Amino acid sequence: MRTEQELARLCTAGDREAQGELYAQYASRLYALCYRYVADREEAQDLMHDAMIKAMDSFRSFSYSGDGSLYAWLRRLTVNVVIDRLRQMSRLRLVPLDQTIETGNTEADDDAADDIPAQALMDMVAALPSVRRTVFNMYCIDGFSHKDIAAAIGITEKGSASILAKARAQLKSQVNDYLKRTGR
Amino acid sequence: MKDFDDIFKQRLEGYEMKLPTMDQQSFWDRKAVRERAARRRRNILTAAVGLPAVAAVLMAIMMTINLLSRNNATPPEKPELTIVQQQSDKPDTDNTVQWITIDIDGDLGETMENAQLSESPGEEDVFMVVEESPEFPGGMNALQEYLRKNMIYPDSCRENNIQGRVLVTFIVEKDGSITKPEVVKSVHPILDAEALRLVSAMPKWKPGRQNGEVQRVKYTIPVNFRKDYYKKLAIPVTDAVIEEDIMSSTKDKTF
Repeated sequence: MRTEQELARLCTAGDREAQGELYAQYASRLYALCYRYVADREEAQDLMHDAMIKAMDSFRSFSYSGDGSLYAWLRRLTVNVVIDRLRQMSRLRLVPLDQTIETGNTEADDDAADDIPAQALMDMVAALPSVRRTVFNMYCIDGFSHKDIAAAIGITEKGSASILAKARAQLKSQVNDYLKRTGR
Repeated sequence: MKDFDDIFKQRLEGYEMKLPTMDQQSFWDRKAVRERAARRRRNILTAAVGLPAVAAVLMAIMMTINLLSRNNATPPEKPELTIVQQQSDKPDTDNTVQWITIDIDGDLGETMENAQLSESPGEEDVFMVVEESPEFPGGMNALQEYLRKNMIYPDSCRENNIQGRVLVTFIVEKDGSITKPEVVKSVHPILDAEALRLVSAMPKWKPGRQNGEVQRVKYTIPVNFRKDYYKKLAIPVTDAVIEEDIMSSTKDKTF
């Protein structure tokens, strides 16, 4: 396996093999990231492909700064692609289907028994209405500020905070339901 | 609050989801299509820079030919640069050239997916513009009527406020049948599929003609999905929740 630095360098040069390796290494992570925002497998796959193509075209703007910086860069780029798409959809005044909640394969993680499996958490996030889901993802998982969020999706900072509170409340009740259901 | 967020952050931040089989293949295919489209755009751009001068001369020549021998002018044999003239179909303006499309290799104005079409060997030329456009039997109004009557608006979309205009492009074959329907502007996969179904199920069209001969012509129609046209329903819960969120947070209600 190549180092991140080497991988990035080869991808910039258009090396097919390196691009394939990049894909193999990061595709499923970025796919999950997209799914977290759009809650639709096909759309997530689409967005991930877009992000990957964009990444392979714009490696010049990547500068290596230690292990993990490649993923950090890819992640940021992917979130931007996702937000662009969401914004496009909102310009069309569309609300994506929120009812397509996929239960997915909830293989239990055996590391910590009292932990909720990641896929179950994913399903809970996916079940949020799209605006709440976007705000929760950006703020709580991907580390954006309310200011960033406000600018990105065209709401006020206050609005972002109040949507976040609602998202949290909804998730909390879902977590409790889950724990009750599984008898913990 | 922080702890609660952390449950999600820790577990979901680097989470990996299993991709569908064949994902890699579809990715490379897509990348290849993009690259081809980008190359094509570059070529057209390069051509466009040198084009105005050439076009001006050619246009002058064509106009002269047109004036001198309107019907004797034989079309050049598969030239690299073809000029397609569109004349108005209104009789009173019959002698004025309304507008001219300059077409390099037949590519200009085609989207990347459509461009593949003319590349495939053995495929006959598809016209973008012809003198006599193809027509739905009974005209545009009949087409609208057909769409309105046969449209099945899925409840799931109506309930979720999904509406909009799907643009579908297709080819009207020489016999008037419809082939290669494709969505060029998508709204939602469900509505896209319905639009494609409607287009594929259309009765045969009157084919388009160029120089009096029937030709294959590319055509695009909008399929409008407006939920207000259909029976009104009470706002479902999911919408109410979302709308409440938006109302309490938008500056200008554009979101």
